[in-house]
Amino acid sequence: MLKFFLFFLFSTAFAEDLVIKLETAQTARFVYLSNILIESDKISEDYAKTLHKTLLFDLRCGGFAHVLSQKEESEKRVLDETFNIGYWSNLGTHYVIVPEIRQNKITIKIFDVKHACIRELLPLELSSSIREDRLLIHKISDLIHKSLFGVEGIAQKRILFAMQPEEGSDWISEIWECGIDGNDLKQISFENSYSICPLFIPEKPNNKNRSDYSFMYVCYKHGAPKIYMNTSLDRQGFACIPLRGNQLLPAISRKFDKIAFICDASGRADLFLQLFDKERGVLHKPVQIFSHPNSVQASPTFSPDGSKLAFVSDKEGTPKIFIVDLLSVLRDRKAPELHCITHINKENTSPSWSSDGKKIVYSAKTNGVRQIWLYDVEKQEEMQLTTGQGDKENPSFAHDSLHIVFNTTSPTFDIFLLDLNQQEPVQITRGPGKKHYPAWEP
Amino acid sequence: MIKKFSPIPLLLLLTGCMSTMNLWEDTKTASRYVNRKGQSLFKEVPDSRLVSSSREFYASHEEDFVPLRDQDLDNRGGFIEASIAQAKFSPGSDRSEIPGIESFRSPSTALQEIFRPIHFRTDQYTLMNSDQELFVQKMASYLKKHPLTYIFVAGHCDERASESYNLALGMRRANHIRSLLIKHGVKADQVHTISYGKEKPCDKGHSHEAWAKNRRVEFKLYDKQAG
Repeated sequence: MLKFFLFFLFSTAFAEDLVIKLETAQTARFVYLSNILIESDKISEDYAKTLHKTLLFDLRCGGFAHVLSQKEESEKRVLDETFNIGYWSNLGTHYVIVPEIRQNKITIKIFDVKHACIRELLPLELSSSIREDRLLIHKISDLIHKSLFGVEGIAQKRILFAMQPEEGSDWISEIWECGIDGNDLKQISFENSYSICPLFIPEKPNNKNRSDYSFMYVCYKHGAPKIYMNTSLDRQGFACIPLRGNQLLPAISRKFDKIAFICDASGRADLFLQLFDKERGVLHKPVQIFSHPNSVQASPTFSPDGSKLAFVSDKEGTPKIFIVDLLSVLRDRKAPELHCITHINKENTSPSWSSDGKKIVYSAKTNGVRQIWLYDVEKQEEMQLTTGQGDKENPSFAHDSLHIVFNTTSPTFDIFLLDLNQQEPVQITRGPGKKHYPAWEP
Repeated sequence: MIKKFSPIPLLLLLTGCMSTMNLWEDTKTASRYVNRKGQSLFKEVPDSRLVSSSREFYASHEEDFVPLRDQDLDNRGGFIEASIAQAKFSPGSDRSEIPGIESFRSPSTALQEIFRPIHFRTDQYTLMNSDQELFVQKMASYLKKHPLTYIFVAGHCDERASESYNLALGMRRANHIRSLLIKHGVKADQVHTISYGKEKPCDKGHSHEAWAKNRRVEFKLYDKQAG
């Protein structure tokens, strides 16, 4: 017995985090991205390098490619071999991408090594505004992604997050947007108060104006936190759910016909549901979905069809994630049956359900550090996605069910991007300020 | 022969399976409930009264939300804290008679002894000991004598749990103190809650001492008479 005990102590002392590699449908392709060839006196080399950096980031983070790119001194030799099938085949490269700028237009040539053919994207006009041209590069990245891998890219998607500046008043936090590379930062709320938990509101189908969108967030500007709606063109929002008490941690269904949130209207931290219409606003009264005398509820997230909610409750002692069927609660109006999905770790929080309905990501305390975990809905299995130091919280799935953003809370509050194919988080925000509660554009 | 039977040992046996932390609160609550029931048969107890139905604990929250039909609270007697609905209008809202939290102030020096912060154990939202119960009674006594004094009960947490869970736990702490004040006779509309989670620590250290300080509720007051 003593030997067994000592063996157990020895093995646990050197145990590493259990990380299971996800089986993904797509094997990453090897892509070479050359530097941008410039035949224009209007575009400087530095400007071209900035655009190249954006393109490289987008392709690397797309989730389907290992992207290589050479330093300038090696580039010449590589370009001499651009269309040499043998050269690239020996390197195991599937595609060679050559961007060119002629006059004020950018073109992309893609050499498909396996099929020995060249595809060329139609020339697109540069504006010489770095913000606009970076958006153009994101668009090009998504076109390349779709062309090569048959899947819509995420380069054009924006991320909303809350940011509290380090200097100045402690109780100020506003909502910001950024690109997936952390660039193109833009403040979009001006409440002069504490605003957190932002969410995009899905756009109207005919809204082509990218800079005009609606979003939701929690704001403390009149005391108790309330859920606010705002548009990117306005500075201040309005409280949209007329329910007493503190309103926190909202979630929006994909059809934007329901909002789930936590509220103490009844005197406890309960789970509520509000029916919603994009044109008319709130419909009917909010409905109390779950309440428990001795517990705290938090962080709801909708299933893709809006029929279920995953949320956090500590009714069994420590925070766990449960799934509740909304239809039966709304029909029967009784305390619902809950299905617990987290069994490995004690503290599980902030779930986010993927668009394909097959996965739920969440944060869980693992060996003293908060890591990002994934629950496979079909297999009913939990898997650890991240390792290493630094607490990680508030994961949010992108619409492609492949990419996740989350924020660290130690040693800094920054936002990271993670794709399930490659599973190496990429930091996308830096510098002073507390950045947290990231949310993807749908 | 009539044997005198004290319910206290029986209650202690019944709670034997619960954790030590829960034991004191539930035993105290149960014995107080039983004791008051007994007292009320013979004399008037100034700080407590029998209620005729559980509805007296509730504000009329059916007006602005649809509640679950069978809330767990109803059949648990004095063992489980009754939920007490929030005041209908939040301070600072269009239909509220009192301004928003920006008009509330930390207790003056004279009132700091009464409205001192209340601290909690890790992951708990109930009072830790009888001293805290006395603090709550003193606060309630002051507020009953000053019905135009409004109070915000702000719930806070230490840094260790996640941001989102702590927002909800702070909410629960604030509501627990609110419900105790109301049970002691304070008007429900006098007491409002706010949760800051772990967003506003009073001690930014990373030690057990700092964490203990941060697990708290604090109070802000607004005197409508003074304006």
